[in-house]
Amino acid sequence: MSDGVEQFLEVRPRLFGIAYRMLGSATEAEDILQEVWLRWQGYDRDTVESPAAFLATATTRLAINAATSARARHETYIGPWLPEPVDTSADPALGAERGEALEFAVLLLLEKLSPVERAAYVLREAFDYPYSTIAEIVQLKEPAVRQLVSRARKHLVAERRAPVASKQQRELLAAFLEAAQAGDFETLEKLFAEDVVSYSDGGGLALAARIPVIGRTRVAKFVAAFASHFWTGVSLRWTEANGQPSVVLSRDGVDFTVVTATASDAGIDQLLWMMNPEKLGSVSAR
Amino acid sequence: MTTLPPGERDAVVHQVRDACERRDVPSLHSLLSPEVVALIDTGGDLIASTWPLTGDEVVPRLLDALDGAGLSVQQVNGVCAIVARRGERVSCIVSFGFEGNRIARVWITLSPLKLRRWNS
Repeated sequence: MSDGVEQFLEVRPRLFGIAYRMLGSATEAEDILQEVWLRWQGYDRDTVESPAAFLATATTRLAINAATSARARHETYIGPWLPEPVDTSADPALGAERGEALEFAVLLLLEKLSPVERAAYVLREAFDYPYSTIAEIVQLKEPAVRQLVSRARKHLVAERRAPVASKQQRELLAAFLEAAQAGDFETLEKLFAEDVVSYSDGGGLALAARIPVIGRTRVAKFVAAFASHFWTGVSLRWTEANGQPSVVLSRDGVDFTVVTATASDAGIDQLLWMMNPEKLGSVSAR
Repeated sequence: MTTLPPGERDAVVHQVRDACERRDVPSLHSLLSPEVVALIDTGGDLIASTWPLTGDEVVPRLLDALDGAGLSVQQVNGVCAIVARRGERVSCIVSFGFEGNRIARVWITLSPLKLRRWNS
């Protein structure tokens, strides 16, 4: 059995190109390649008919897993999240048949697709894999993969037309904060959608309710109830977390909560109170 | 979002770089769409993070991010972008998205972790 080094190095740029496009992170793509290399080393390589296909499959599947946990991390990221920029002066297409799905505009849109959808789109559009091969890699039937890719294309076209920064959302959150601080139950009710949900992530802290509070009246009561003590001495700083308007609350110069609101035409439909000290501390991690 | 041929987009990015060096605000306004949106990745820095900036908010923040740095136009993610260096270190990368013949998106990467590979 050969040591497998040559086979790995030969497809390395392509593997990096797949993982980078799926994750928008060169650092994480390197981690995946490291893992693929270890698996390749430990594998009975004589049984592998096509090393290139084997390695691409391993890379894609690991990237799908990584994309799932990255999504959760990006939700607690303070400020807009952007892909890690990569220098493409030496390799303009970054290991691909085409330089597709490499620009920031597309990578940011890919973030909004499910990891499997992203994989199918990237393998098809940038690397020109046949649908049958993609089906094997993502463990779906070929018609399902065709559908995924076509849906992803449609998503990307639709997303490009959607506005990014909504002043209206900012105004809603501002009005919410004012009413919350005043404990103004009636105004709170007016700002919420019928089925509003308030989630708290307190990381086990007593202050935070672990169970989501659901419904216009209950959330309004819940927010109004802690108006008196919660907001005392609090200063607010506007930011954005994972594309949503957010506010950082601090007391005596210490950040203790990030409040994020999502809204639809019906009003604010989700509030997230992130009070988990671990997550607040790790927002700068990636 | 791209309707301008790649070669012409590259020319616009060069014009932006030149205008930033001159701190030429009117030129920058003519290159950016009035509805331009800028996203700034600070690496999750609580203090420096901002909303997406829109319209008139964009140029001052862009000039601020690039102030005092040497600016070059390089291939980043397959297209021309502005790479800002202070001394040897890359301090900021600015990428652009187009709508028609003007810039509709400005993506400013300040996150030190995301610039790490540029500085190693």
